[in-house]
Amino acid sequence: MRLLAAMVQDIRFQFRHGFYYAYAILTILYIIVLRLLPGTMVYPALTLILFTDICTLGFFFIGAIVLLERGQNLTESLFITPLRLHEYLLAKILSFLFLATLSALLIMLGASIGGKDLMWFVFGAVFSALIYTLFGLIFAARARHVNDYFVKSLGAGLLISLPILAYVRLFDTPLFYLFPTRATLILLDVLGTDYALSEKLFSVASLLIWFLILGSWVYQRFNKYVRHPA
Amino acid sequence: MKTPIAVLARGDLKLVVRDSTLVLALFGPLAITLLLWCLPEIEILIRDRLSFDTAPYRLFIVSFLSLIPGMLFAMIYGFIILDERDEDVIDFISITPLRKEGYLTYKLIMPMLLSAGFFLMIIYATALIQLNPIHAIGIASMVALEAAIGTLFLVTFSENKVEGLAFSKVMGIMYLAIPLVFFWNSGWHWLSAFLPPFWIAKAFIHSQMGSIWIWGDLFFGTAVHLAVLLYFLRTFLRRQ
Repeated sequence: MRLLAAMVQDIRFQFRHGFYYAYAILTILYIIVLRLLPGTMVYPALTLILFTDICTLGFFFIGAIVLLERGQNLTESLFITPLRLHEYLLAKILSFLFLATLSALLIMLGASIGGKDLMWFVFGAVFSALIYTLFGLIFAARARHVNDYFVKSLGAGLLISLPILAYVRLFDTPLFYLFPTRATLILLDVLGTDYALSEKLFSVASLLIWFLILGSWVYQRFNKYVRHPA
Repeated sequence: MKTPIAVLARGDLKLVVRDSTLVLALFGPLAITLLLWCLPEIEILIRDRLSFDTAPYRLFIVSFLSLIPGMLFAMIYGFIILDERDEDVIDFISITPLRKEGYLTYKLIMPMLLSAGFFLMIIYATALIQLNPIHAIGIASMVALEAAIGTLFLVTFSENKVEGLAFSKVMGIMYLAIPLVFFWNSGWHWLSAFLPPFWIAKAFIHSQMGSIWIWGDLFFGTAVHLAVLLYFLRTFLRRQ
C-alpha cells in the first residue's frame, strides 16, 4: 500500500513537472515519423526510437529528480517515515516504467505496428526501461549537480550502448552478449526480425540477471550515500 | 580592482573544473567534431556494409551536426542557472553590484561564444563543405543567438532542474526544422519558418548553391532569432 501511494506520488510529481506533456508531444511526433517512413524502415526505426529515447527516459530524468529531492532535504524527511528504502526506489522505477511503457504502446498503436512476438517485445520494452533507470540511479546517488550527473553517467551510458553498433551492422563481437543492451535490442527488434527462441530466452535471462545485479547495487549505494550520508 | 564579471568567470571556472562540467561541456562538441572529421571514412563504411550512399546527404549532415554543440552549450548553461536558482544563488547575486541582469548577460554570452567558436571550428577544421567566410560568420551569429535562445527557453519556463530536463526534450523539437527544409519538397515546409534553425538550414543550402537568397536568409534569420530571444528575455525578467 505504501509502495502504491509512493508510486502515485511520483507519477503526480512527473505530471506536474511536464514529463507527460513532453512525452505526449514526442509520442505524436514519433508516430508521424513512423507513418511517413517506407515500410522496410518502420521496424528498425521503432527499435531505435525506443532504444535511444523512450526506454532511456528514466536514465535521463532520474539524476535531476534525486538531486532536487536531496536539495530540498526531502529524502531525510522521507526516511523517518515508515517508507522503506526499497519502496522509495521501486516507486521511482515503476513510475518511469509506467510512462515509458505507456509511450511505447501508444507509438505502436499510433503507427499500427504489431506482430506475433508482442509479449517478447513488451518484456523487452519494460526491462529496457527498468535497466536504464537503475543505471541512472547508480550515478544519481552521488551526483552533486545535474551536469555532474551527466558527466558521470554519460560515459558509462555510451559504453553500455555499444551493441547498437552491431544492430546497425557496423561492428560486432561476441562480447556484446555480456551487455544488457544487446538483450534489449534483440527483444525490441522481435516484431520486425525473426530471432531464434534460444536468442530470445537468452535475452530474457540476461535482463533478469542484470536487473538483480543493478538492483542490489543501487540499493547499497542509496543506503550508503542517501539514506545514511556521512 | 576585479570587475564583478571577472569574479563570476573565475567562480564558474572553479565550478566547472571541480564538478567536471568542463568535461561534459567539451566532450559532446569534441565528439561531434571528431565524428565529422571521420565522416568520409564513415561514409565509405556505410556504403560498403549497408550499400547505402550517404554522400548526397553530406550538406544536411554537416548543417545538422554543426548545430548540436550549440544545443549542448545551451543545455549546460541552462542547467548551471537552474542549479544556481534552486540554491538561491541568483537571489544573492541580485543584491550585488552585478545585479540579476549582469548575471544573466554573462551566463548567455558564454554559450553564445562557445557555440559560434565550435561552429566555425567544425566548418573549417573538417573542411567537409566549402562555405564562404562571410556567410559562415553570418550563420555563426545565428548559431550563437540560438544557444542563448536555448538557455533562456530552459530557464524561463522551468521552475527547477527537473522541469528543465523536460523542457530540454521539447527544445530538441526545434531542430526538426532542418530535416523539414532539406527533405520536405513542398511549400508547406515554410510553416516551420518561425523555428530559428529553419533559417540556418536555408542559409546553408543557398550558400552552397551560390544563390543571392543567402542574404535574405541571413537577414530574416537574424531577425527571427532576435525576436525569439527578446520574447524569452522579457518573459524571463518578468517572471523573476
